[in-house]
Amino acid sequence: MSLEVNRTTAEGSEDYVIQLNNVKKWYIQKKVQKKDGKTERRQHIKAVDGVSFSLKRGETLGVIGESGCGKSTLGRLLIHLEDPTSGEIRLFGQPSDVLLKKDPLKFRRNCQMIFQNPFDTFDPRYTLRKILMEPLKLHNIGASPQERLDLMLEILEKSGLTPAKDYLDRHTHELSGGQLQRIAILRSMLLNPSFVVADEPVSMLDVSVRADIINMLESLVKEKNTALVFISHDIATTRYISDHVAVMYLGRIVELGPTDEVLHNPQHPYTKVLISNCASLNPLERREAIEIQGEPPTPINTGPGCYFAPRCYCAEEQCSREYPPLVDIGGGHLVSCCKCCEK
Amino acid sequence: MALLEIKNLNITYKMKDKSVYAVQDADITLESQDAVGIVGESGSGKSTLAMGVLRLLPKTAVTEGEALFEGKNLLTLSQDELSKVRWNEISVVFQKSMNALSPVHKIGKQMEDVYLIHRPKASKQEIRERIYELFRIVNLSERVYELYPHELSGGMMQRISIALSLILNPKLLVLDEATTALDVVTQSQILREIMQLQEKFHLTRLMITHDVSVVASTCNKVVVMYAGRIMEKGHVEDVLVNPKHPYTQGLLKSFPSFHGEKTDLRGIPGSLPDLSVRPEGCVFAPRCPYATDECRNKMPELKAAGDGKHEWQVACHRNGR
Repeated sequence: MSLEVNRTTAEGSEDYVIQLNNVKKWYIQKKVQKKDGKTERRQHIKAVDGVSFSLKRGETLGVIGESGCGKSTLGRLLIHLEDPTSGEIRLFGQPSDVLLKKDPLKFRRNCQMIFQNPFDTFDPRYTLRKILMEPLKLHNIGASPQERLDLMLEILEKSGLTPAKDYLDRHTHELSGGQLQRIAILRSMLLNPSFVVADEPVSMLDVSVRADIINMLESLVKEKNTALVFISHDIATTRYISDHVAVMYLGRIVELGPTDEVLHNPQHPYTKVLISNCASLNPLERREAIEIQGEPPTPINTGPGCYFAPRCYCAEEQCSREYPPLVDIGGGHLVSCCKCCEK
Repeated sequence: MALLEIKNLNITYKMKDKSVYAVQDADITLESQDAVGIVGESGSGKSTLAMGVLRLLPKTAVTEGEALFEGKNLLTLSQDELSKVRWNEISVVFQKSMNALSPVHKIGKQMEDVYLIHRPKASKQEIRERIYELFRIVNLSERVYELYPHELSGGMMQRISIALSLILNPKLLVLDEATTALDVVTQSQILREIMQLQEKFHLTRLMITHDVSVVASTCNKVVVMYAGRIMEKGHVEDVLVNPKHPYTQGLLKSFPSFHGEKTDLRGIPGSLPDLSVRPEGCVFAPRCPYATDECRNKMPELKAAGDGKHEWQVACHRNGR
């Protein structure tokens, strides 16, 4: 993965499955009632506020952060479920909005998403046969009905539903969450996408089935050489599946780099807080958690300084003056913090 | 004397055509100032167990056995006696505090009501002071008093629920997935607060969660449940470090570790058995990698394990071998 942030847009390269250049998504809050009775219009909620990274084939990027930090919005932007306010997303060097306009079907086939709740992913009135047939027909996969049926049976068997024939005419409520999520993943991967976004794919599932789903997703991604963006708030799971990790806070990436480098040698105070607060399985190992006060603020009227400065335990005066740029501190480990850059 | 002794508890949901055996033969003892965590997958009966003891289950649930709270059997108390115990001595924090609070009343009003029900003669001044004191304990500002639940974040609402549960200085606090819906940082803030409160007010705590790491970092004893039965119980330093039961081992392996190699993540194959059928043998046998004919035919009983230093019991024929 290339992590140079200052890559110019002209350099769109086909080596990269996806490239983001300073992508922003600002939602407009139409009316705001102030305390003194006046209404103010057009405040911006900066859900994603300038994110840049690029991914090659077969690479997995984990995105972690608290809820409300913009991870899910980023995921939706990546597969163009939302239009970015500014900035550019390129797929194989081509702007993604152009690709989508030119051939929506091909674009959707190339970029797939796996959602959090498998019970909402599927239409509850459809049987599995219909659910699986739909994408096959839409994308013209399989020449004859028989061929499609065989493909469907193969998916069901892969997801552990045997005998597959008995499951074809079932509805989604007759299956468990783990089984449905496996079907959702296999259905997405069936189209051979070059880019997949998985938005908290296991957080709704039971712990004992989580591991299998993660393993399945990982082996599919490796097998098909797909680029994966794995969005999660669970740091340990993200560590397990990703090659690179991005830590987000209020719409911005505060730290980005190789997984173990970022997680075991965190530089940004927010990453340190996040990691020290994640509880360990071993009761003998009681780590000192860094305490921070307060809740994550809403991304309205942020800045001009570092967004994390109001909660940061080592904030200084300079932190509230300007937002620190993402700086490489060696080995592709990028940090956006005034204090870390000084060193 | 133990604060809460659950003896031979069976909870069955009776339906028209079948019975679901949600909890079977549960024995749990809570000493004063213990922090006990109950872990297990969803559907393993952990919430049913706690709610059954507090008699908060619907009428379809039949509870048998004993739950002695300071010598009183909670399961046979009359409604009047039970209302005296609830909130005064035992209080509960539920998983979704957004659902536990009324959306159309201000936070302060809701808390006042609780106080007034149990202390009808309290003056307004007294109530307000008590509520402000509680806000300070859980790190909330006093302005919350005048706010509605929708104006608060999830973490703040969880804090309100905890404050509300402490309003009458209970002895036993039951937390049913109290931090599950929260973010890592907020979760750890609240867990820390709970532990401080426990020390300050000499609380006894029963935590129900599916997150083993929460139990590992905040409890001193753990009970592992599977399909309505207790598989293993003991001190966290024993059970979670060196688990004897294959289910506990499997559960711990399903969590990716933060340190070390990335290769050892494994789930438990299969899914929970149908709880309306009572198997002959061990309930975990169909998913157990070590299951033998003995496991399939004979139900293992909870037997002492370890070197006998601490209380540690495992329900497995292999007994850790």
